[in-house]
Amino acid sequence: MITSNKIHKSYIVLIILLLIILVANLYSFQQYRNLKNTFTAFSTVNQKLDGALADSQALLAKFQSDDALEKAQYNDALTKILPNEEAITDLNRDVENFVNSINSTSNPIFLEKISYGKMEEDKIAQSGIYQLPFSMNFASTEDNFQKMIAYFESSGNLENQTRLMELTKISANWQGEQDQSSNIELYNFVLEGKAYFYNGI
Amino acid sequence: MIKYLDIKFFTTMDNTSNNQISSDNTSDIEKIEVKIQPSDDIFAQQSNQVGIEEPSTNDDKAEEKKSSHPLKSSVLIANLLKVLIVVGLCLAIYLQVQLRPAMPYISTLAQQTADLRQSVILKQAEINKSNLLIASNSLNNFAFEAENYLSTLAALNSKIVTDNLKGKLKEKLPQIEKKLKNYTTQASGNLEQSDTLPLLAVIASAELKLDINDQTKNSLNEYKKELSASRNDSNKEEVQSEIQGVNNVLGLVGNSDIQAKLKAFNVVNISDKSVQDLLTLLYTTQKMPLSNINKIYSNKIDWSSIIKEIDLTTMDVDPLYRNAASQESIKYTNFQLEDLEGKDTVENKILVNGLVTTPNSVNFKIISDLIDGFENSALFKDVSMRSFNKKQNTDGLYVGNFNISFTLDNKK
Repeated sequence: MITSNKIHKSYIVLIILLLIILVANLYSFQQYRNLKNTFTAFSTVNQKLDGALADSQALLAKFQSDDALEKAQYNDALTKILPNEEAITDLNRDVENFVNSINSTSNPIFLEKISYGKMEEDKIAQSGIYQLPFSMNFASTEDNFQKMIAYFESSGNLENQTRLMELTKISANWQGEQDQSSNIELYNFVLEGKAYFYNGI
Repeated sequence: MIKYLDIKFFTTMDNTSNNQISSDNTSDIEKIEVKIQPSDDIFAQQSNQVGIEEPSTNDDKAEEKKSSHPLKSSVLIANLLKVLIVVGLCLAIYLQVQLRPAMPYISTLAQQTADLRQSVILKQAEINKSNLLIASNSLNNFAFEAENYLSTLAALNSKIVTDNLKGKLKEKLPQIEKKLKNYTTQASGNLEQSDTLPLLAVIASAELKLDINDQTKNSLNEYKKELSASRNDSNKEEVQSEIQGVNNVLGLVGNSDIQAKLKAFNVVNISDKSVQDLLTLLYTTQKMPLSNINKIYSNKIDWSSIIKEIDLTTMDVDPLYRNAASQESIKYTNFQLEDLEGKDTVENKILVNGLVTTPNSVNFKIISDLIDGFENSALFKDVSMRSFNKKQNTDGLYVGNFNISFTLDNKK
């Protein structure tokens, strides 16, 4: 015969089992509900982002179009100051143009020689900045000597948009020599320095 | 079938005791007896007990009716519990499957959520990329205009600029200020959008933000690769400029410091100080093309000032200096910036070489006076010369070389 005690024990086992399943399911359901909420939130955001993405890309396109002219001007200035390569020929032209612009019969200057060394990466600026060593020989008045020094000092300025250069050595022979045509005393001097360029790729 | 036979078994047992075998299936019943007797299925047994067919009296029937109600409910409850357990187990399996990030042949909720999360990250990263490109270009433009603004202000305060030019520059100022305002507002707005993720407020978390930042960087690096691949002789300058821009954008990803400074920038009252402060911040934190130029430019030696100071100091020591007719004086041969390789900062060490010619062999005195003169100058410090020499030339004059080094106290 089955006693009621035995029946009760079996009930208790079943109820405990059911409770365990219930608690486990409650925990899992909580997780499931959280996941479902996250799913719904992501789903909503995902849909909204479609519109936002299209808007942002349209804004970028409009900005790039509106900014194109100014960007071209800035890039042009930037390339003059910091070209993307050695650009030795451009530098020759620039320096010679400047020398000719300050040369006059009453205040002469003559650029006798330009030579370039081997390029190397700049240790201070780094980030793709390279320096091109140069040496330039001049014969000029003291006034034009000062102008040449000032020219290299102000180079790399956005105002005058000249190539960024720096003088590292100034050698001057102050035993002047008379210029045969003008009888003006000229001094020989050598300017050594570095012209910079950028190569970030 | 078993249950039915089970019932019969109990019936037979009772009937057997009364010697009233009502069934011909005695052998079957006995066979089943062996099978059923050890059964532990109490509820099955109860169920069988419910079905007891007992020839009884009216009193017995009443008694049976009385006792069968609790038994029936027990069975019902037991069955209900069983059903609940089965349902509970099924639910548990379903939930566990849905919570698993990956299952073969089944798209679980966790998987779908992960897919959506990835889609959100990709889209938000693309939006951030656009916003940051706009912000970066705006900051670039700001830097150019800020340089323009500062040099215009410097020209306006300069004594050597003519009044006519100053008038023209003054007219330019409001236009430059307007541009500065526009660029900072634009950059700030776009940086904020990429940083606060307004659409993601519900799901925003630090982890998601980091994932989006990582994806934004990946996307920008991919863009850089595409640009590099498209580089050729005809477009190399544009491409290089674009790549420089992308490098700059990479520095903006997750950079809340710049955003805070941009917000703090007063667009109503623009001043040279506020512009200079923001520009300095950009130059120190961003890989802008102008920041490289500025770094080199600000470290350049101001040779004009140095030569002027050397001239003034030398004139104090030697009154015949720069006198072309006189052989007896100090003459410089070169000024040189010593290259300090391997240093992170420029120390600006200057070497000055020259000759001192005297008729009365006071070369060392003159050189010493020159060294002291440099030492007393506000522009120079750490003046040094450790080897002295002189000799008599064929004209009977005393000639000594000097090689003095010093560093700059103040840069231009």
